Order: sequence, then C-alpha cells, then structure tokens
Amino acid sequence: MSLSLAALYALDTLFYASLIFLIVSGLNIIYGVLRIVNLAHATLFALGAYTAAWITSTYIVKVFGDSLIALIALPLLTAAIVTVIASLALVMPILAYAHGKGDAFQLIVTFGLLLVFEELFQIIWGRAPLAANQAYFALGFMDLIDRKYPVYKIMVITFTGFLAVILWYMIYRSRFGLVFRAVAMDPEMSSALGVNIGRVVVMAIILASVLAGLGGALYLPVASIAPGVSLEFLIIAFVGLVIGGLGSFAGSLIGAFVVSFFRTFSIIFIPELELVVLFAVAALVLLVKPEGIGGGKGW
Amino acid sequence: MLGKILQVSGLRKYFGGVKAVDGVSFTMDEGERLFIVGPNGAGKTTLVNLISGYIMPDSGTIMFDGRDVTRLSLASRVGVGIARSFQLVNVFWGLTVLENLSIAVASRLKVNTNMFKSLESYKAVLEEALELAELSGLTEVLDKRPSEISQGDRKLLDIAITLALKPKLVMLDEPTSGVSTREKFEVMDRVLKTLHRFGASSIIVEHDMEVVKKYSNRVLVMHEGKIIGDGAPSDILSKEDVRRILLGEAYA
Repeated sequence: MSLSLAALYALDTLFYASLIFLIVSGLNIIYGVLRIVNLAHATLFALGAYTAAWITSTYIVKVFGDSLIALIALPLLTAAIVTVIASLALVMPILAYAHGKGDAFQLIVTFGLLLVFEELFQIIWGRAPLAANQAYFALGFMDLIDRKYPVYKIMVITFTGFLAVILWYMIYRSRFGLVFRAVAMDPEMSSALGVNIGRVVVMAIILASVLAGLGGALYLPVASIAPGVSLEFLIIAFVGLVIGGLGSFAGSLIGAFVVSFFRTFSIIFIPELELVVLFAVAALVLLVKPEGIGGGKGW
Repeated sequence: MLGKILQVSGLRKYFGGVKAVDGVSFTMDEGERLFIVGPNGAGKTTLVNLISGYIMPDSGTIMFDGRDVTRLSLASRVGVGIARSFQLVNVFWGLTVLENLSIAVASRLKVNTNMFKSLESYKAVLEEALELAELSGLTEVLDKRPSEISQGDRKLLDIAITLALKPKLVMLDEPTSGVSTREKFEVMDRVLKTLHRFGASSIIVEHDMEVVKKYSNRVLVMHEGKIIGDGAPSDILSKEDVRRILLGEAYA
C-alpha cells in the first residue's frame, strides 16, 4: 500500500468514526439515565440527514445561493432543531413507557419505533434517495501526496472532535454533568438526595438527539439519504456499542473508532464481508472482554 | 428553651410472630444525642427504619418537630428534616469525594443543571461542599474516589452526604461498623464535630460499648423489642440486668 493510500484510509477511518461516535455517544447517554438501549436512536441520524437535504434544496440554495457558510451551518442548525423536536414529541413518550419494563420489551418497542419512523420518512420525503452535496463540492479538494482528498471530510472530523471535547466538558466538568453522572451511577440514591431525575432525563435526551441530528446533517453531503439508512447505521452503531462498552464516554470513542477502522479495512480488501468482519470483531471482544473495551467503568 | 424534636409513643411493629418493636415510647430534646444499644435482634434497626419511614408501624405515633409524621413517606420525611445513614456505606462509587458532597448540596439547594456552566462556577455549592469536607476531615482526599480512601473516611463521606441535606434529626446505624479499631475514635470525633456544627439532633445505633461510654450522655437499651433502660450511661450500663443482656452468655 502506498503512503498516500494509507493516509487516505486513515482519514476515512476518522471520518466514519466521527459519524458513528455521534450516534454511539447518544445511545450511551440515553442508556446511562434510562437503562434502555434505544434502537430507534439511529432514525434521528436519518432524520437529521433528511432535514438537511430538504432545507438545502428547498430554501438554502434559493435564498443564499452558493454562500458557503449558509450551506454548511444552516442544515446543521435546522437538523438539530427538527431532531430535538421529533425526539421529545415522539421518542421520549415511548422511552418513558418502556422504562423499567425489561430488556426484551424495550428492544421490541424501540425497534418498532424505528420502523414507524422509516415509514414516516417515506410518507414525507418519498422512496427515492435525496442528496444535497453542494457543501461537499463547494469546499473543494486538497492534496494528499499524489492524491486528492475532500476538504469537507476534514471539516467533519475537526468539527466532531470539537463536539467530542464539548461533550466531555458537559459530562465531566459542567453542573449538568455532575447530576447526570450521579443519576447514571445510582438513580435510587440520587432520588433519595432529592435530585430531579425527570429533568436530567429530558436534558440527556435533548443532548443525544442533537448529536444524532448533527451526525445526519454532516453525513448527507458525502452520500444520499434513502429508506434503510437508519437500519444500516443502527447495526454499525450497535456493534460500536458492543465493542466500546455500554455507558461511558471513553467506550463511545473507542467503539466508534474500532468499528470504523475495521469497516474501512474490510471495504477496501473484502467489501462483500463488511458486516461479517464487524460481527467477528464484536464477537471477539465479547469473548475476551464482555463489558466492552472501554466499558464497565461507568461515566 | 429547646423544644421536643421527637416524641415516639406506643410504637409497635410485628413481623409475623416476631415482635421486632413492641410498644416503644421515648422523647428527645432538640440538639440531643441519643445512643441505642442492645443485643442482635433487639429491634434497634427496625426502630430506626420506623422513624425514618422505610417501614410503617402497626400502631403508635411519631411526632417530629411538632407534627405527626407517622404516615409520611420516606421522601416526605427527608423533606421535613429526617435523614439517616446505613450500616453499609452508601456513596457514589464513580464520583470523587468532592463530587459526592457537591451533588448532595446541589440537590438540596435545588440549583440549576446548566450544561455550559462549569462546576467551578457553582460557588454556593462548592463552598458548602468544601466546608463539609473540612469538618469531616476529608480535605486531603477531595479528588479521590471512595474506593481509594480509608474505610473511616468512606464512612465519614457517607455521613457528610447525609448531613449535606441539612436534616434536623440524623440517624446513624452503627457508624463505626467496618471501621478498624484504630480508626473508630477518630471517626467518631469527626462525626460528632460535624453533627454539632450543623446543630442536628442524632440517634446513633451502636454495638461498641467503648464508643458508647466515651461519647454518650443518654443511652436507650433495647431488648426483645422493648426499652429496658433509658438514662445516663454511667447509671444504665452498670445495672446488673442490662449488663447481662448486653454481654449475653459470655457474661453468665
């Protein structure tokens, strides 16, 4: 493998890890406060992408033309807002209903919610793939030794790194973080101390939704959004969750990176076995360290 | 003049045929420190559970600070100022000592949970948490997690969390259990100093007679669900029948 090819794969691994991180960290945050693995979470990623595609093609291009800032910032902002509203209105009541009702019930209910969302997307936006790659091309390409690499992907990696730092601060250094970690560790003791658990749960859901919505909006310009994307990302994020371990910040980072590394690797060398490779890695982790590489320590 | 903080009368709790608490009556003055002693199964922990609201009595009344709390829930009793710590240490294992204290203070003060403001900007909370740490002698271990500090410090942290709720009555179930003999007096010194500083009345269940003799000025002796002695430790603990019950077969 040439040096430039290796650099390209390394950057692609980071790019893909960024998207996965934005989903896995949200799954972990919701699991932290509710002890529910929310399978419907990946639909918020898809909703972010749909929203970005829709707002870009219907308004931004018409109103702002090819303004780079509008092309990049507005889809992100809109996607975050729409995702949070949908999450509070549609996901939160279901999570509240499923809370404390057992793993099997929660998995079935949240997967059902995923299917409902997928249907809603098709009713609203149709079955044909939607794309809006203006931002991707507007940012152009940079030299990577003897190749070209899209600046947009570098921007996504940088932006997600920035988001990860903010998320770390919110969880480990902010006022919210203290209460969030206490609730995630011991909800019973937290409520005995008089912590308002309901409020912490709502804030955690908002945070997780924003991350997923931004993820979808960041993903859209390099691909397109179509029915089934939720499921595709759910499977990959779920493998990331297993590998990284449930319920920690480090686990989200590690899981996203490992999944992305093996996915990029298998797409290059054995594309037909992409999912097989991922599941094999997950199985190996489960055999050697069942709580996941970064898991078991809590937030 | 100090009023009565607690008036317990005719309190009764049976578990099947076992008379765990069988017609217990006593009163406590505000600011008073009361030790409860008795052999295993005498009903000490059941009595504490009844007063703190973990279980409801079959009959009898509990008046706290002038109001009837007999049927109040556990959470409501915390609200009116009754708090307790357990025999087993109850702390957040994944949080540092300072964070443990901060969360307790923060929840009492009902402060906001802003995502963008740092913990350091939480002035009122931090100051009180640091003061609690100083009173409990935990200043040296602020950044450590409960698993990294001594058993005595862990116990003190547990009690400091309880005190952060600013209760008027604190119940401690065997505060020196699980603490080494070497540490127990130091732990008690620091616990009582903190209790005094907060002006809280306290009920302390204790099995260690050395601790009871050293720190109590009023002792309540329980046996088979009943109070069989109530008074100054020098009077009560020297009585022949009390000694026999407390020391059990070994004495006979």
